[in-house]
Formats: sequence, C-alpha cells, structure tokens
Amino acid sequence: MSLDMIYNEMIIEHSRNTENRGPLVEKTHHEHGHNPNCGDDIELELNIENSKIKEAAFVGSGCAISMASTSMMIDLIKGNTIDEAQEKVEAFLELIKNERDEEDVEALLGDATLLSNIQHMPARVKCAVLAWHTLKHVLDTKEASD
Amino acid sequence: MPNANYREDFPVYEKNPELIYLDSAASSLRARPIIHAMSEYASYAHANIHRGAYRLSFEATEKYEEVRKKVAKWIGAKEANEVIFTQGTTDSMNHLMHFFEEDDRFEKGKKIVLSIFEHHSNLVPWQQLAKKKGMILEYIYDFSEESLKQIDETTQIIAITLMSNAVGLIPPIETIVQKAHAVGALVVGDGAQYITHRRINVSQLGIDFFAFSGHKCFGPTGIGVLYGKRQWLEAMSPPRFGGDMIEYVTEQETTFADLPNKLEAGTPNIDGVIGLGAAVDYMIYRQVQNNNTLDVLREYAVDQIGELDFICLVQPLKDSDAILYGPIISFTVKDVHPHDVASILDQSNIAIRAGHHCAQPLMKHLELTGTCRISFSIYNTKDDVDALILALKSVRRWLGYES
Repeated sequence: MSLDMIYNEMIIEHSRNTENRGPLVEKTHHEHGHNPNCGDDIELELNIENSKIKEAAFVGSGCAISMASTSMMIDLIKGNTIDEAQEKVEAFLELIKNERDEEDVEALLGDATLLSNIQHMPARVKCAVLAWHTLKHVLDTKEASD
Repeated sequence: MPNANYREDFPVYEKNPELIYLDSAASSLRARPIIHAMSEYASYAHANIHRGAYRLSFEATEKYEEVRKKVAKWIGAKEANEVIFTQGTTDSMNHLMHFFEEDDRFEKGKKIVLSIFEHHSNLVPWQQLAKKKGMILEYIYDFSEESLKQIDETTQIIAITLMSNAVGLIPPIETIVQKAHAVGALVVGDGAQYITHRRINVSQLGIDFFAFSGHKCFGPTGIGVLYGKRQWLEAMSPPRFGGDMIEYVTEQETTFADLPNKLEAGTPNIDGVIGLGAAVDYMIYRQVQNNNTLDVLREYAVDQIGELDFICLVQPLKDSDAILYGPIISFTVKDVHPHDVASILDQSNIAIRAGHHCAQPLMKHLELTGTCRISFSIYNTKDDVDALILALKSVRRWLGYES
C-alpha cells in the first residue's frame, strides 16, 4: 500500500479542519467516544429536533485519521433526518469492513469514501470508525427512546 | 557500536532483511538458540514433569528444575526455591497482590508508595489492593531527598520499576530499598525492562520481590519469574489451587506442598521455562546486560533526534544527576499524533511503538496524550538509527506541514 492512499490531501485537510469543532451552544445529545489503547477521545454533540440533526460538532483530540473521519462525518450528517444519518453510518461501517463497494456508497458518503483505504492499515481501522460508532450509539438510543 | 553480526542470531531478519525493529521494550525478537532449544524439547524431550516414574518425565523434570537453578544464580537469589515461574510480570504482580490481600499485616490506613513511572502492571494491582483493604496509595514524582520522605513509618509496600518502559528512566533503586527497609516496608521491583539491560543481584540489593517476563529478554511469551525472599514466599498463601501444589488432599482438607510447588499449581508452562533457560544462556553468551554499546547507541540516537527541531524528547527529571536512562527513548513530533508517526514509519519498515505505553498516569502527569517510543536491543545498529532519522524527517510532510 502506498502511504498517500491514507495520508492524502483530502484527509489531511479534514484532519486540520476546525469548522466542525464544538462545543455547541445548544445541544440535545452528546456522546463520548474513545479508543483507550491509542488515546483518540471525542465528545460528539448533536442538536436534534423533530428527528432532524439541526447541528453537530465535536470536541476532543486524536490522530489525523480519527479527526478527519469525525469531521467528514459531521459534514455529511448536518441537516439529515435520523433515518438518513443512520443509513450513512451503516454504509460507512460496511464500507470499512469491505462489505460494500466504494462505487456503491460514493453518492451517499462523498469524500469519506476515501477512508475505505484504511483497510490496508488494519491497526488504524479503529481510528476511522470511532466517530461513526459514537454517532450510531446516539441514534440507536434515540430511536429506542422515541 | 553494536556488532552487526548479532543480527544473524535472529531469523526474522532473513525473512525480512529490511526490518528496522525498534520495539524491544515491548518484546525482544527471538534468537535462534532459543527457538532451537524449544523445538528440541518439544520434539524429543517432552513429558509432564513431577511424579513421573519413567525416564522421559524424570528428565523433563530435571530440565525444568535446572532452569530454576540457572535463573536463581543469574539474578543472585540465595536459592532456587526463591524463583517462582509465572506467566509474566503482570502475573507475578497479581500473585503478590493476592499475598498482600490475604495477609492481615497489610492493613487499612497504611501506605503503598509507587513512582509515577510505573507500567500499569505495577500500578493497577496496587491501586485495586488499596481499594480493597482501605490502604492509602501515594505516588512519588521524582527521587529527590524530599520526595523520598514519603517513604515513612506508615509505609508497608513500595512498588517501583527498575527501568521505566515509557521513558527509559532508571530510579535510584539502592536508595529506595534502604529507605524502605529503614521503616520496615517491603519493596516490589518491576524488572521487565531492567533485566535485559543491567545485571541484577537481588540478594545484594536486598529487594524483597522482583518480577520479569521472558519475552522481553529473548525468551517466549507466557513465561515469567517472581523472585521473593524465602521468608515471604513461605508466608504466601497459594494464589491458585489444584494439582502439583498439594501435599495431602482429603475430601474436606488439603495441606500444601513446600516451595516452590506451593505457588505453581497445575501443569506449568514447561516449554516456556525451557525457552527462558535458553534465553538466559544466550544473554550470558552475548553479554547482553551492562552492554555499553547499547548505551552508546542510545546517546547517538538522543543526539541525532535532538538535532531535529520538530521533535521533543521526553526525558523527565533529566536535570538530576542521580537519574540515569536505559536504551529506551520517548519523544513527540510537533503537530503529529504518535499513531500517525508510527503508521508513517511502518511504511519504511521501521517498527516503533506509539501511545501511552501502559503508563497513563505518567502521560497525564507529563501532560501528554502519548509519545513515540524507540527501544534498542543487541540486534540494533547505528544504521537503524540513521534510517529512523531519515524517515522522521519526512513524517511532518505527510501531514501537510513543512518539514
């Protein structure tokens, strides 16, 4: 594998993007996500109204891959309904597990599709999926509570 | 500089000649004589030990017990029975924790003192013990005269590493043992890193307990040692019950065997012990401990890394003359997370460790989320360091920074 499949311009840019950094002024949900073994640690904040994610942001720190993945995910889910966001989370997690093709999910996931290359760096898969698992947890619990 | 020929002892380089292995503090590469000894035993000499009336078993028992004698002599124990085989350092510490937990002399309100440099294996057991018994857990953050005053009359246990796995620091263990014994406290030494880099003589040092793992000193995983002064091991209640550790068993009662069997229940890791024995022979043959060339290599690496202005060496307490360092170097790369550094170096076949190094309280104390760590063994050369330096120069570029 060539290193630039992972550390490419798009991902580096997203890893340094501060636009999606919180904290949010108004939030209805927040969830802590961390990889204890490597120290990636995020707090995902959401403002959900009428089953719609009006606003999303995160605070925390981690490696470039976890930070890029978190930021890309937030870009994708802002303004989504719960169902739409859930569809994206499923698609992303399936993509990373190589259960779905890039072409199949590109329309849904946009730039985040690039992260499928993380399959070639098994030790870092957990960094790429952290934010998505954290969001999934919020959405699953939210759904259960509705 | 280390003799490059030592690399020939390690078959991994035949398969992967480009490998630059800088993670010996996590585990040593495996040397051929150890692999050979284990294979010979498994192929031609294996039987269960103890109580076998036939030759194969009798000889296996002898081989097993010979390693105990060999280890005892090597670490300066007064007798072989002071050496207990465990699964590794963590297992040894848990044996000890069990001992302190069961023994009423270790009581509520009394202190356990640790250094902030401890690996979780020499920290979590004591933290849990303190919680269970209502003992007080205290940390020392440096080894100044003032800080060592924390070892006072109320202190019962001091658990201390002899060489920090995270930053390579070597605490002044002689002073600590003296201070501890002056107030009647016991000293538990974590020798997991120290064992492969420095000669130890547990009797001369007077330390009460000393633990290490086989796989960090060229042996296999799943085997380790707990040394204890005989008086303490005799007082220990068995950490596990079952076969091999008994004298008589009736339907309702059991009397226990003498040392060392009392503390080694069940069929032990005989293969591991054979491997450990071969590792000790190897370390003696190659004069691995007190190996000046590794200290020279460390100095070279520290100098070279120090030249790079985007790298920060993590050397706590470096101003104190009393503090020495083993061949383990921790550092951070400006703006780049340690895991990204490790992944990028991996593309140049350079194996380093990144993260908290099982020392989260130390990282917190140093206000770091983690570090990059390189550690040397006898197969490392100046070329390895040069390759590392070259690769480090490109790390920041991958993350979009000017080098």
